[in-house]
Amino acid sequence: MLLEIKNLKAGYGDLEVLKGVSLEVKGGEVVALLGPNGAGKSTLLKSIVGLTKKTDGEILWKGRDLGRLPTHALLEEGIGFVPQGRLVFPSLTVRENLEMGGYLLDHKETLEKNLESVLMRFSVLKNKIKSRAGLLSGGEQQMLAIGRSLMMSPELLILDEPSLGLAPKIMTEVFEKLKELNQGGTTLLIVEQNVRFALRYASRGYILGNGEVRFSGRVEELSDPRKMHEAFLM
Amino acid sequence: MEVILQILINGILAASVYGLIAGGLSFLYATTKIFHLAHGVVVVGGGYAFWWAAAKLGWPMWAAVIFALIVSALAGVAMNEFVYEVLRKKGTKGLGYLIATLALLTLGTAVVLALFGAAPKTFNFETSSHEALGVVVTTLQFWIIATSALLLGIFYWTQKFTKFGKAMRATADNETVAEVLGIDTKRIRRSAFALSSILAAAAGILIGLEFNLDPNMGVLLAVKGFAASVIGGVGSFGGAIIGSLIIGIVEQVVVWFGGAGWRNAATFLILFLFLLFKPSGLFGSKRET
Repeated sequence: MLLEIKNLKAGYGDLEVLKGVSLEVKGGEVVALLGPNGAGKSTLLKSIVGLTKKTDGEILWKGRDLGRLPTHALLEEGIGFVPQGRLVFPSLTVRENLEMGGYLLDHKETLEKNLESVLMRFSVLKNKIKSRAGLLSGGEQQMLAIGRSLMMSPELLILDEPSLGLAPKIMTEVFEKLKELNQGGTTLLIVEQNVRFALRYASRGYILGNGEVRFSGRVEELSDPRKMHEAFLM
Repeated sequence: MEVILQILINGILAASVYGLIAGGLSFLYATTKIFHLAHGVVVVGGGYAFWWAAAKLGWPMWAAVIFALIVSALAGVAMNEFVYEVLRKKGTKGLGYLIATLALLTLGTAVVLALFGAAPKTFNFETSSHEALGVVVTTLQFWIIATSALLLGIFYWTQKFTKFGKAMRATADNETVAEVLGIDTKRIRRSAFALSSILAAAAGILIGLEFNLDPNMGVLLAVKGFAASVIGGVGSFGGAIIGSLIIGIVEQVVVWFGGAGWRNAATFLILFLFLLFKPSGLFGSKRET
């Protein structure tokens, strides 16, 4: 088991957003995290990467409790995170954005090597290597945000709504890239509002509702409209 | 013709000092989102530290310079660590920082007054004058402009090309994402304060050598730096330099034709016009949502 979450509770101040969530991700999987707005999906991801402090429960990475490791320690452990909203550094160039993705790499050769392989994967970025990231299109920015997170060669990549605000055609491109990544051995945990997309690309899924796991199972089971209906309305 | 050239030279001379202050202010705003008006008293502190070491204790020039840089850097970093970082932890927003920075500015001025008294300090630095094309420039003035340009150039270079500089710009763009990528943003803020305080010390030293030191000038310097960075576009380092040049030259024009009394009024008028008609400044970035 790569990532195992047991009875996780977290929130902001007095507001408890996660009321005991358990979840598992095995190596090589694509796991989708679905659910309506306010269900706690983003909070769950933020707790995993240490941006939100958990109040109770366990987050196990390869069987070891991550405890309250700072975010940069998680990167070195092999957990990458692409936050919501195509958050590139707009005033930095594409190359500088990627360099920042490898900020924790000590050796310049490793940085250059990883940069080269990210550019191989995302050829659109190669042509715009010197452009300011703020000038890229929405799809390109999302590719850059994903590419940047690959600079540390993560084993598990966590993505918060990669399709948000993208045109359907671009969404497909982004998900195709994610599929390629997964075939290359990277495990993916994706929060997605677009259920159709998530189910097309994921192998397993969880439906979150009101801070709890409402349903979990293989994609085929999740596709059942009645299950979906129950989970979203319950 | 000679008059225009002389006004230009005097304007650039003033801008050399303003640029060191405004550049730091603008850079600090970008990386920490704080308008650090107490920067004015960091300038004054550097100037007085230099005067104390060089004129009072008779240290050699280079040692006094290093001493002043250290004093200012420590003052700036201390303000960040003991005031701004504490407020940040409590989730303070804009107005809280503004009150804090004004308090620091007042407190710092009081400390300088207590240590050195109210009488202005001068160096009576001996320098030779040169005349060319009907324009008079002293050797000292030449060195002031050159030093300022060199320091600002080095600063810009480190921002543009070093790994640490890039991390600073990344933090300015988006602090949370920078943290997600493993950048220690607290360390970035501390370094930003150290670096801009060193520029401030340089400004203080140059003011001491060319003009004179007055414990109360911190407020005015902070306002001039603020004005220059607003004109250039808040957060833009290059813009702050251009803003300083505009203020420096316009001030000299006003002084020449209207008398020295109008000097500061001119700065405020330009600031007012920019706030009214172009609040984003000349090079202000329009952030995408």
